[in-house]
Amino acid sequence: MVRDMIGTFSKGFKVLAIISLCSFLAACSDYKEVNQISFAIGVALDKENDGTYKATLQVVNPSNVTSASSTGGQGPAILNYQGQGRTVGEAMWKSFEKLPRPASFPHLEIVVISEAIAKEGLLNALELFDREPDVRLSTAVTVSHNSSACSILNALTPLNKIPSNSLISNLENIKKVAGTGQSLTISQIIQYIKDDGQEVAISTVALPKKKKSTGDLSNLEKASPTSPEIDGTAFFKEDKWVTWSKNHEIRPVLIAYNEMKSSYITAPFEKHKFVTAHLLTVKSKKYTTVKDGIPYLKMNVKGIAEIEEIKGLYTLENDKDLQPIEKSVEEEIKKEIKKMIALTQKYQTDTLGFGKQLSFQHPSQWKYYRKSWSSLYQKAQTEVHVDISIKTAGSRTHSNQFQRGETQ
Amino acid sequence: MAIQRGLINENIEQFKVHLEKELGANSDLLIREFQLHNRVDLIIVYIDGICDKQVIETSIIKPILEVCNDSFYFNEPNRTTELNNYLKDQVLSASEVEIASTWDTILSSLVSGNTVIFFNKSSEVLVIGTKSIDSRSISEPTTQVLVRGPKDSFTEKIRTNSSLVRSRIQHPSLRIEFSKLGERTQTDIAILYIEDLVDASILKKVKEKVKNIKIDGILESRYIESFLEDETYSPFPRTFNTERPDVMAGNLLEGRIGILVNGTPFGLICPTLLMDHFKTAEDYYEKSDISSLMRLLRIFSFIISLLTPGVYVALVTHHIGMIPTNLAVSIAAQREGVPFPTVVEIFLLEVTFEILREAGIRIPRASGQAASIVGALIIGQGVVEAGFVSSVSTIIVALTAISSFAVPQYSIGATGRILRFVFLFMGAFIGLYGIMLSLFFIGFHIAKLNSFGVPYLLPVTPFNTAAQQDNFIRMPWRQMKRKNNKIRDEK
Repeated sequence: MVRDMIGTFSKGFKVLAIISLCSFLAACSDYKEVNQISFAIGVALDKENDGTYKATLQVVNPSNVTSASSTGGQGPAILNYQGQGRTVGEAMWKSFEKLPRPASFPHLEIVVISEAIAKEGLLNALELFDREPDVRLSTAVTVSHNSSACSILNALTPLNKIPSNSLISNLENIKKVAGTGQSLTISQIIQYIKDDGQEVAISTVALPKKKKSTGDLSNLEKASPTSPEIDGTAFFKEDKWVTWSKNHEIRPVLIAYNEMKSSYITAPFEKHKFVTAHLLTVKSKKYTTVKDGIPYLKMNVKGIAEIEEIKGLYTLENDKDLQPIEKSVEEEIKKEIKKMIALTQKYQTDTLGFGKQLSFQHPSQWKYYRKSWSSLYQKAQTEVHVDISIKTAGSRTHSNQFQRGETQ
Repeated sequence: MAIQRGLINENIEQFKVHLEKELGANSDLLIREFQLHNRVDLIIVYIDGICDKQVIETSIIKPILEVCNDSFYFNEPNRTTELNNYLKDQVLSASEVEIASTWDTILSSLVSGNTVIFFNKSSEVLVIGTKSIDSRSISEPTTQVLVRGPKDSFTEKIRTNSSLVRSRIQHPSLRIEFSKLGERTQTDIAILYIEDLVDASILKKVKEKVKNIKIDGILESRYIESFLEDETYSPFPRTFNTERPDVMAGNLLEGRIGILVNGTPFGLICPTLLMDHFKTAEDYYEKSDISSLMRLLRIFSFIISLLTPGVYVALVTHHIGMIPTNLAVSIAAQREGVPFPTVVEIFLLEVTFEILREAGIRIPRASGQAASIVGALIIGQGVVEAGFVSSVSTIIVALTAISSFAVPQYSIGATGRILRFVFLFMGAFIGLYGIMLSLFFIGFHIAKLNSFGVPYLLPVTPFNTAAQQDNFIRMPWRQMKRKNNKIRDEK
């Protein structure tokens, strides 16, 4: 009887029925109620003294984040769960055992890797996150410095109640406003490591002072709570940490990759005078050639800046008066770049990407020198040209001190 | 006893008995008898309430009484035919006078409000047009309100309605064809079109469909509407109804066909395309830039009212990664402690809203306030505070509800109300994939639809460049190349 009934339907209807019935085969496979999962928002990876890995999974406690819910309680906005194992993966799933709700990874914002693991190699540590389809590849990676990775995630932060979130916005802010931080995503790191001719540099995070109470809410009751700070940059050769430098020294890397949006620079000029300039747009061009087995690296930097302050007596009347200032800023940037190249040459790590430039510019040479590039790079001759033009001196011309001298 | 429906050949008494048999002992059937000395007796019959008594008094009774004593024919009982003709041609001052001889005509004229004069033993009667049904005067439209534009609307009386259209299109090419439909209601309907603008094949289809309607009664234009639509079922309306004579006139000028039905202020317009449901008369009365924006807004709000609940459920339950972290956390916080799954929560709220809307229409005006208190306070606020539903869900449902009211045509709004639930469940079952799947099916469906042979998606597909000047946006009148004749040219 059913056969007869089916026979009476039109062909189109049958096709439609089959397709719509098929869609129900997938029914609710992915269905998760938002209040029955926990958002994993940050992960910290540490290496213990006995050689095992420790994973700290930071999940959000939503009702403590927003004040909108009626069931909102007192307490931190996040919860940290730890697991230990022989691999990163094992440590992670051990931490899952402690979670009251299944973790959901699409909102993972940051992975903090401890110095010890970074020295051992990033690729191993990131394998898990690269493979897991739920994790966004835009998740940022940062390295802890002088402090354990889990202590970074443990510290409660003001303004932004979720520490991982706060760390991310701190990193982005530093990169955008000061131009002295480099945050890379998982996919970028893996791509850069696998590419020849360029190496990775990542901003490092540290807790300024060793304090026990960073994980307490009382930390937030101070006007200057202890929270993680971006303190410098780790330089990698392939996927291993080789050296570290202080905060703003990362700037030439951003300039080299044309990633700098804005930065501040203070340069001395004439006698006991200083000028602080706001670099607005800085664009660079790299040139690499190899002649007689010696690479010649050239970097041309062009940029626009505005004067923020002039310390000392200075008359600023016309464009001519800007020239010494421009020159001093140029010198300062040049110095920074040269210093950076020297540092990377010392560790044979081509962080600025001159090797990559060679592969674009002279592919045939690159084919030949590819294998020996890092030792070759050490011997390279460098040449840096910087051309900064000052767009505006701000709302005044002469320095403040100058006017005072006039009136006296 | 079978009623004989033949010629009349009776005396007054027989005639009266016959009338009662046919019409029942009606209390509103009035029979005025005249006993004229030595002359032919006569009766005047009419049904009270549907005829104009003023006309009966001044143009029928008075002239007859004035001439009955002097007239030659009143003395000749056997020459009633001449008497009838004499009255018709020389005495009665009413505008419509006819001579009828069958019972069928007598009865149908009586029930439609005409007056019948019968002379004793005559084989014919005089039928005088005295139809007058009390009706509402022309008032402001109630369902299709405008800020700028004419303030009159159709009434229940078809003659008034056709006159409203005629007064707007004063051109001999406007055709208004009357006919009667409905076995028992004998409802007057009118087909309106402009001879030289209308597409002949569509007109033929419409006339044929109207002619073939077999139905007992027609009380509203929807009765006809369902006969005009193609047989395939679709939630999308393929005719357009309006209570505005200016909209009717405007559509006639575009080459469409209008249908008016006696007894309802809602006229039909066909053929109708999908985009017509998003146009209002005001679009043409306001500046083109603002009306274009408003039209886009209406389309946008229809899409919102259709998709919001489904997309919300799909995002929250299947694709939480697509929501920005802060928003996701905020939604999670609000859902903390809510006992129902998201889809059930939204479904319950949607159903509650539909109940409120339905109750709002039916509720007696006196207790209307109670309903709004229940709706707003108890259901809106109380349920959220009690933690049965999350406040973000009420926001979603409220947004959906308010955007469904921004759609000008009630009928397409109802389409959105039905399809919304399809999207809701597909979104809950298989996420955005389900939403896309449903959108595809609906897209296929409306691409297949046609209204009297005109593709439903017309100026979009098949694409017509020239027609785009009045589709999603409206160009200024000055720049519109073809103002009229849309349907014929586009097809």
